[in-house]
Amino acid sequence: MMTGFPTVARTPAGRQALSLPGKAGLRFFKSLLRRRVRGWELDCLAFSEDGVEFSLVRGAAMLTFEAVPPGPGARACLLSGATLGLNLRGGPETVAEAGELPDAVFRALANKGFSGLRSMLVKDALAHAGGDGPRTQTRLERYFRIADHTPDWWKFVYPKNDFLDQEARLGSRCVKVNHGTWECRFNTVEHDLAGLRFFSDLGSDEPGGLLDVQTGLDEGDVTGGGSLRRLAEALETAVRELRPDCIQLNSTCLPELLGEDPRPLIARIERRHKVPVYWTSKTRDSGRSVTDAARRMLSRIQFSRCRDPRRVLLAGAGSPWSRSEAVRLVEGLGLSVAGFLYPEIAPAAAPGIESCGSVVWVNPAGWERISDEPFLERGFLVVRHAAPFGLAATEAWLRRIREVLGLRARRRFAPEADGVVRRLRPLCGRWKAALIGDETDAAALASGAAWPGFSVAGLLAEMGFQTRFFVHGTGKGPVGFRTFGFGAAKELDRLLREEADLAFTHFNHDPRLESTRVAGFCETAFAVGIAGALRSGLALDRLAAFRPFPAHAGLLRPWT
Amino acid sequence: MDLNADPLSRLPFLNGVYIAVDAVPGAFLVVDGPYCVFTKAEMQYGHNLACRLIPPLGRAAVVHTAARTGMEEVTSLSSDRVPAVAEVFRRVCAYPEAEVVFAASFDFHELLNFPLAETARAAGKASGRLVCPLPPSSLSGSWLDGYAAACAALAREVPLARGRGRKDTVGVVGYLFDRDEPDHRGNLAELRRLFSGLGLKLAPVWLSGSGLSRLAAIESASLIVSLPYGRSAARTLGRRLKARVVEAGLPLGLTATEDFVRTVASAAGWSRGVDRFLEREAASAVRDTREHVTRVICGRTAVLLLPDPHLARALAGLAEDLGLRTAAAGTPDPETEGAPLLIGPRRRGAGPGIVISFGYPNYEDHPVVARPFLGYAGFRSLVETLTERILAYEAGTESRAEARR
Repeated sequence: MMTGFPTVARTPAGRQALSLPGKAGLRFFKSLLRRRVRGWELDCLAFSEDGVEFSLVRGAAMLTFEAVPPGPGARACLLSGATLGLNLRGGPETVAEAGELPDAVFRALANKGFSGLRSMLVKDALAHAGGDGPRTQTRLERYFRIADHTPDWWKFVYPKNDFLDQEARLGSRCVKVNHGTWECRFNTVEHDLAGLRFFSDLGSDEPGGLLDVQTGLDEGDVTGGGSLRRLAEALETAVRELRPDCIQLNSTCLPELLGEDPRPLIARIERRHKVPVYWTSKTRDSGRSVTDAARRMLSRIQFSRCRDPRRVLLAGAGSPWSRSEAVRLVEGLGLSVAGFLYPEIAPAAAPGIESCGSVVWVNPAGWERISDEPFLERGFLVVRHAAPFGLAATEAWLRRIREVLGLRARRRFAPEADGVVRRLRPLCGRWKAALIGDETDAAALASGAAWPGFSVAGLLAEMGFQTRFFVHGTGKGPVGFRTFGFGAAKELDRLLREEADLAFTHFNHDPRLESTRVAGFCETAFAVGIAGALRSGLALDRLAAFRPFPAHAGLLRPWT
Repeated sequence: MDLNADPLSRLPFLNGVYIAVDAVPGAFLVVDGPYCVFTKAEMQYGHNLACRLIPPLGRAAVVHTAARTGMEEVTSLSSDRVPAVAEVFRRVCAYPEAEVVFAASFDFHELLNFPLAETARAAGKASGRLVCPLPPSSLSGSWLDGYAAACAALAREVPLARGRGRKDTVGVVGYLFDRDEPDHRGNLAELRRLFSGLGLKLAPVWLSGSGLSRLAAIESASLIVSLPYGRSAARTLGRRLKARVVEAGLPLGLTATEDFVRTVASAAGWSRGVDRFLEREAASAVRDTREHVTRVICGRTAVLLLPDPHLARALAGLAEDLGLRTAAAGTPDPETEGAPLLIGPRRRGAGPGIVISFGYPNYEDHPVVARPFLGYAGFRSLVETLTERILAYEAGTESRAEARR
């Protein structure tokens, strides 16, 4: 184990994160069941510290079980023993229909016991697959759905929704066909100018594939029944004129309302032109659509028999800068990077993909709905762990990669991390960084729940910022951090003026912060890895140090 | 299907409605549609730094009627939505700052035969608020149709008193006030100056960032000058006020400004002294810009990439004034003709050239000081902008060439 990373008190997660098994865990669990449960297939499996959930399917029948640790909880189960308890979901009727199956499953698992099961599953588990932790409302639920934000004067946290079918890019030779009206097309802002965005999201570094094609439905198409004809024309023209490797067909609300089914068209294009068409629609789960696209793409690759686990695909690695840092870190472990996954999904484009043996997630936050199954099915080892934001998290991430891929430590990053801390602490220690919201927002920012996937408070503290919470209502903040309560706008205004130089906000231009000369930032301010910690700390220090109108603050328009 | 067609040439109906709503403080818009009618407002937020449609705090001026989100959105439309949509109108009409509430439909909502206008009117009647339902055109109308429809609805519905027109007061209707920034404020000042040069007073311009009560002061006009973005509204107001309506083009460039002034003066019966006024103005404008035009601008090629045909036509006139050749995108050969001036919103695939951000949408240029583009002041400021961009481009090219050496 590497030593020497500086450690700081991190807020305990306080949640039972749900994990998915990796390749070894899945193989182990299947082998347990195979001996005693015949004719049923394992459909899905997830686990936490408190339980192992799994479904078995046979034809159209599906039964969902939960194994729990021994003790009072287990005694209340359908079947229980000294090593675990087993429940079958669905009530007495389901139990009656299941017949002997629960007994067989119980016998299959009881030998190992709950702790034995869990210890095997955890070995290469795909962590960070959601969880029951504090969940703050998304931007869609809290901002876009509500017209009057007057009562939300205290609210700064509006996490982005993950519309994966919009984010995913199916390679540089993909054409995206949007099936909808121009009105719908222009619901999406077409510029990518950071200063003009409403929310402070990162822009797209890659423009994507060959071209976006809009079918541009209009009244005539709809009333005259020509909507599908318009789609057929767009698909044909796109294939003929742009000669793409594949097409991403994105159908919008209007054709869905008309009840259109483009599958015959898709089949025709694929048959006639041998160009795969990946369909995402408003009425299908976008995570499932993207997973299916990955599965189909992988099925076209002829993998070699001998796979090298040290040759990896990096998933969710973010900006070009973050990618280079992630590459540097994993190369320090002796791995070589064949290519990147998500938002692009074009595994065939990775050099030497045929012998590639592993997928390593850099930042899985926001991509949880995409399953790793297609890669596991194709024999990949998958490392899905909390993202390496900050020094301690980077240490944990590297350790996890070594564990799952069975690597020995090579390069020692500890001296570099020590240097980062020595450089950042004196600079960042000058500034007060505020995290503002209600108890739920505060808990999410402290614990690293499903959003944002890492502890913002912990990371700021690690960098040396005077980190504090302003909590609306109860005034109860996370343990280990200074907390100020507030109930009225005037109180928040005073706190911002006296107790904050930096504050977390998802608004690109927040009138509360601009009138109190507080610099805003959000999770996009942080970059991965050790160099990322330095880069992020220096950037936040600059934000705090260079705020406008230092001598004319009194002239700024008040927000209260 | 033309894959090379420019998406901006297909800007849709609601974009124009949003511009109109943004141009009237105290205006709200209820769109019968999904939550993404909100994200459409982000386009206006980037175009107008003073955009009032979606403030981070407080009330959004654009409101949707979606009961649910995502995949459930479509299925929820089969239910009886009247009570829920009526509640949205009731809530918005009850805002104390709401002076006028527009109502419009988003594309697939148009197919539902939903009684939107009736629902909106009922809420307006109950609250005493002015309500302006717009015709359902999201599936077929352009952004200019949307802007014109909003102006026309306002012209139909706004309370006005007849018989208050003054002989020396002129109203301008159909001005595209697409943002509350100093380019448009400069234009309004220049229009006032031109009218005052003719001895005329300018009534509130429709639209111009003025609220409802100020817009109603158009009743003091005895002549209405109809600009291309609101011809129908101008006719409606003329009819309601019994005022004469005269159609004019945009006063952009020397020649078009002269035409505009002559048209107004003639319609107002104030022709005396017009020639002297125009002579003086034109002479001064030419004197101020002659070196810029002859030394830097003339002889080049301009590619007009504007989604606004009225502005494009006016700029073609300006090009003629300046000795610029106009050409279609992609046709000028930079090797033989020099870098073309690409005037309009920046486009992917427009080819190499000197980008002059102009018109709607314009994300890249946000003036701080008055920078009109209409009238003589506008002519000077356009010449200044073109000169600055051309020289900056050439200096950049020069330094790149030097770096290569």
